[in-house]
Amino acid sequence: MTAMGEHGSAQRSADDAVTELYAAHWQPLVRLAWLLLHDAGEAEEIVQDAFVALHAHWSDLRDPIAATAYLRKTVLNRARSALRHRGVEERWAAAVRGGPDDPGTRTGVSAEDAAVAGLSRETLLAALARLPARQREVLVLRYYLDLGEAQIADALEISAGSVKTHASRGLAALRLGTERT
Amino acid sequence: MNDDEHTIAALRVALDERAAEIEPGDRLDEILERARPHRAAGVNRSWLLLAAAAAVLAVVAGVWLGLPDGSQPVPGGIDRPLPSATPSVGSTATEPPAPSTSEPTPTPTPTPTATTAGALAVLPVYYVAPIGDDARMVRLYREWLTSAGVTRGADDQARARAAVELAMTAVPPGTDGYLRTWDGVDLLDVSVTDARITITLSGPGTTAFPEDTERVTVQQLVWTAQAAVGKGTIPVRFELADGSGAMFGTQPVDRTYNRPASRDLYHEDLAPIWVTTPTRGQVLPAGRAVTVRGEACVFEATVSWELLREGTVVDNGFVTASVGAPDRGTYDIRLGSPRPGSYTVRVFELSAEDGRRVSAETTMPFTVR
Repeated sequence: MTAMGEHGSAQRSADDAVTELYAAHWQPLVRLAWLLLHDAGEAEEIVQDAFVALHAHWSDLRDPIAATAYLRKTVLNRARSALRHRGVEERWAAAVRGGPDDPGTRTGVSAEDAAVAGLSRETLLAALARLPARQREVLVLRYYLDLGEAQIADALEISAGSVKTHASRGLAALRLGTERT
Repeated sequence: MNDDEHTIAALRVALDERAAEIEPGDRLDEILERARPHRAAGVNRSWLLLAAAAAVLAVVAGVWLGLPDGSQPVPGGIDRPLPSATPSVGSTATEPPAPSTSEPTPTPTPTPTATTAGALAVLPVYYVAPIGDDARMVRLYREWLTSAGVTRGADDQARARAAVELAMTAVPPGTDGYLRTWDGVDLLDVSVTDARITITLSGPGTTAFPEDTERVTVQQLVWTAQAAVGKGTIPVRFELADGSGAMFGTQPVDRTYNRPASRDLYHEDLAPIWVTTPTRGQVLPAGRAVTVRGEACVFEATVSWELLREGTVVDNGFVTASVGAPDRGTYDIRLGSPRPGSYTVRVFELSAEDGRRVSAETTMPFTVR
């Protein structure tokens, strides 16, 4: 795993690189992970793990652009796997969410806040959370990180055609989802 | 087209605004610390401290390694969402409009029959068990369990009480081998404030265990209660309703208890090897790569593993954890895409002395389907 035996300067250069990449990407990646998971603690944990993994692979990457792509991929993979762990409980929650039994939509912060600003935003985010993982990932990468199709395809390890399909299906589902609520 | 444009514009705003509310804590120090193959040499160490000056301040201030929000300091995983990391905009006392748990869901998943107010809370619960071939050496393992009636909206006190009750009484499926050191003692009350968790027990318990087992048994409830509350290392106090002065005769109740002060001391309480992923009995989709992840505090960071399919070893190997003992590192074992079946992954450390005796181990069953 780790390149044992070349600790000294290799270690230092990895520390250095990780420190720089941390400054640039820590916050955006935690935010990205949050948008996929809706859990601040888990988002931080996943991104932290991605940086630790990056450190271990730095000697293979040695390039900030490749490293950024690596970080993004790792975060996406781990976020997806974290979502899988939530299993049955979450599937049930997802079914309820946004529906008439969802305490979140019924009793939000205050009716006034929701009426003035929050409703459309929260409704949209709730609808986004109900989408299949791939569609959600594509939309978040496209409209939050502003990645192009090719970059998204690379990050998710799917074809550009699939990116298009997921994006259009996701948007269509969002429209329906927000109309329904 | 217009509809799409409208949706896209609204989505951009929603994502940007919501993301901007997330202010992650600083973890650079912990990242660099965990990335180190071995305990840092002097030169590297001072360089690291310079590079991470801000984070060091947090450590000096007594905050858990790089977790400035005082979150659950369990290595490798967070037992609960960090309350302060998410601004409470949007939905405070109620369920947020989207998932909000950091707990992996164990397979004996609650059926959503409880109430419509929320799904059952998945509680972190610690158990005492021998860590390897030496049955006298016991440490803590963590399980994720639910308790009837305790939903995610439950308050700290209800969560803590349920988790401690599970720690003292339950024998979850598939966890044979956990010691029931609290038999004969009833949990009477758990109260939680920001400054103290107080656990009231019916009596002192039996005195049949080695003293270190008794110490770990008390720590079991400390870790469990703190994890269930999820607000960091709130000191824990015990009260014995029968007026006794010490649990098991050796663990006095006139003092507070806490987790070890830093991660490199966790080995005093926690089992050297944990598997954190997959979770017990988890069902994984066939055709996908499986990575076993966990934590290890082992000699020279060397972690051995075996994959058993219906009792037969089908694969094995060893990996290097991110850091060796006495630090607690993390490890990943990539299993490829196992064909459907019932599996157990066994992760262990061979004794540094003879290379044969198992000095630490754990097993985790999962299914590929």
